[in-house]
Parts: sequence; structure tokens; C-alpha cells
Amino acid sequence: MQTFMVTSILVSTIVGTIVGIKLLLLASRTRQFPEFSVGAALFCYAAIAQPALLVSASLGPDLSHEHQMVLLAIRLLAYYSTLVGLSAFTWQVFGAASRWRKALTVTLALTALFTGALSYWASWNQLGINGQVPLYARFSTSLQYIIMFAWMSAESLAYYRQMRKRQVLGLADVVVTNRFGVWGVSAGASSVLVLCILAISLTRPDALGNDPVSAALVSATGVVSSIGWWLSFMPPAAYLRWLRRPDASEVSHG
Amino acid sequence: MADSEAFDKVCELLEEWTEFSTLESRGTVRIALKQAGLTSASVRPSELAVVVKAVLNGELDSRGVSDADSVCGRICESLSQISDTPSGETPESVFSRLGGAD
Repeated sequence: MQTFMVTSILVSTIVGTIVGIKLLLLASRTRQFPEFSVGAALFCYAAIAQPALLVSASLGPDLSHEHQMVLLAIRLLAYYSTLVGLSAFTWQVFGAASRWRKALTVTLALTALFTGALSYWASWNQLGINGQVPLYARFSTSLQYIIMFAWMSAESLAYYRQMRKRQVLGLADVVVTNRFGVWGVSAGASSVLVLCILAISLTRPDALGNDPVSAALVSATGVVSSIGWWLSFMPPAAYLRWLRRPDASEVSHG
Repeated sequence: MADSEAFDKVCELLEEWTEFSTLESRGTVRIALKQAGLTSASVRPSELAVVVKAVLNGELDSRGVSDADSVCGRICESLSQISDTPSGETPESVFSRLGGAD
């Protein structure tokens, strides 16, 4: 199970890094905020936070306190950038003029900043064990992720429903419509899985990564997210052909 | 958010060519747009023309407008005279761009 877990982290690291770089390159050409925010978020999570987690987990006890703190700082900054990037993306794409979306983004950013600083302070004072984020800080961080993913999912799936109606009238592209659905399902799954991980870490803190169910959940989070990023932003030609197959419109029209 | 020029135009014409009040015409067009998954703020003339033919026609029929076909035909003609420029960035345009060249 540990192998599956490490493999899923490696998969999400590779896929997220490639998709993140692709979106950042797109942003450098278009100078548009959405591609920059989602690209930076994926890159920070996959190329920085995940490898730092792997190094921290594999070398944990052998590292000095200072090195553990450096790794923790890198992880926390990367997680923070991911949360803020995805929140800002959702706000800007689904309603830049909306006040409640702006308020939610600012609230998530500020509370995450507070939680991150608290985690670092607690670990610096060795309240956490071996550079691990203390339980109370992990709780608030997970809660912020659950809210952000649930919000992102709800917005994407609501828009997906609208796009399906447009598609029936020939007013929407099947691939773009599908992209909203995949992104929404992937975000929803991430939200549910983070919730499960939080529940396990609160009830059985030592079980994470050790017992098969919790390890499978953690691994599934990475796999589901990776598939979502890949199909949404770098869909393979075969997948696009399948979406555009002649009988697809009959199926989607019911 | 303000309604689009195309939406205002259709409501205006519907009020002029049927016995609908302002409220009734705007409400009917909003219902048709909702069924098509579009909003009054961002709908483009070309999209609205499709909705008029495919959805609004039936809505007018069900509300007792006797010459619904003719009214819808004339509305579409008027819509073709409005410039069909995109109404700024939409979630659809962003997601289309993010997936690259499909």
C-alpha cells in the first residue's frame, strides 16, 4: 500500500508539473490571469509541495530541526499558493464582479495565511513532532481545502449543466462542455477525499499512511486529481476523438 | 449585471408585436434563455436567434400568441442587424483557451 501511495504522489507530481508548466507557458503568451493562477497553483502543489513532502517523509528523522523547518516552510508556502491560486481562479472565472466570491477568496487567503504561520510557529517550537504540522493546524488547513474544492466543484458543475443545455441547441462545444464536468467532478472528489483524510487524522492520527483504507484514500486523492488535470487541460487526442464521436450527441441528448 | 443589447432588443420587439406587457415579454424571454442555459447579461445576438427559433417560438405558442412563427422570424431578422461581438471573457472562453487547440 505504501508503494501505491508513493506511486500516486509521483503520478500527481509528474502530471501536475507538466500541466502547470503548460498553463504557465500559455499565460506568458496570453497575459491572462486565469491561466496564470491555475497554472501556478498546480505547479506549486505538484512540483514543490509534493516533492518536499516525499523528501520530508523519507528523510524525516535523519534531518536536523533546521532542515525540517526549511522543508516545512517550502511545503506551507506551496500549499498556500495552491489554495490562493485555485480560489482566485474560481472567483475570476465564474464571477469576477461578484462580491461574495471575492469575500470568500479573501477569507480563504487570510485564514490560510494565519494557519500557515501558526503551523510554522508551532513546529519551530517543536510542538509538532518531527516537522509534522500540528493536528489543530492540519484541521483548519484541511477545512480551507474542503471549502475551496467544494466551491470550485459547485461552480464548475453548475456551469456544466448550463453548457449541456446549450449543447443541445448547438451553442456549445462538446469538449469544452466536458471540461467543466471533469474539472467539477475532480474538484468534488478532492473535497470529499480531503474530508475523509481529515476525519481519519482526527480520529486515528497514526493510521494515515499505515492502514490500507487511509493509504488508499490518500492515494486516490492524488490519482483522481491527476486524471482531472490531465483530461481538463491536456486531453489526449483519443479522448477528444471519443468525445466528438458521431453518436455522442445522440447519447448526450438522451 | 446589465442585460445585453440583444436581450433588450428582443424584449422590446416582443412587447411591440404581441399583447405582452414589458414584464411579460422580459419574463418569457428569460424563461427561454434559462431553458437554453444562457443568461440575459451575456447572450449574443447569434445565440439569441437560435433560442428564438428553438425555444421562444414554443413559449409564445403556449402563451396563446397566434402568429408565433411570424413574430419569431421578424425578431431573428432584427437580431441579424446587431453586431455579434463577444460580451467579454466568459467561463466558456476561459475553459476553451485552457484546453489549448482542440
